[in-house]
Amino acid sequence: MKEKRIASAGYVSLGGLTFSGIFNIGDTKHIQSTSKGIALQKEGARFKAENNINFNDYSLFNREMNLPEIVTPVQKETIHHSDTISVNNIDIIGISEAALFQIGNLEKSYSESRIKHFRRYSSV
Amino acid sequence: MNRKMKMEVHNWDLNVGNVEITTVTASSVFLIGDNDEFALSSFFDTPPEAAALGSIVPLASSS
Repeated sequence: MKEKRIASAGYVSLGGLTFSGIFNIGDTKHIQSTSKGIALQKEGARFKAENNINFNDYSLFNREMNLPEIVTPVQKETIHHSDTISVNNIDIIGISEAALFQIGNLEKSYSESRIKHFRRYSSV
Repeated sequence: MNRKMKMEVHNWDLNVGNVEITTVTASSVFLIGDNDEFALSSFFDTPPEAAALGSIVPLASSS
């Protein structure tokens, strides 16, 4: 991309931006966001340190990702016939878990999200 | 000789009117614009309801 286009946003309404979520208007060279989470549903209202919940105890957080090898022997030429990206109205409730919302130019983006959800019973 | 694929991109008008989204989550992307490269990964593990031991809400009590 030799030239970047101008990003023009009118009205954006965003309810929540959490857990490595990104919202950007304009140009981005490189984005890298990661998010790890354990969603535990258990009996009782108290979550204590002695519950012993660790990321390392679950294989999901150590598993290898299956990403494609990034080799791009492509020579790209971009010709802009219009110099503005224009947005009128956007309404989003939430952006979460290494997700991205961008208006504009983005060169590289890398996102990784891992969520383990389980229930734990105090007596069976 | 190192041969490369040549790609020519023509960007014409990009105008967005009205967008309504509930959530963008777990390594997802919502982009209005130009991009070169994406690498997105998401792991999500949740128990199937059938594997849950007992019911979450007790429906009746014998005692």
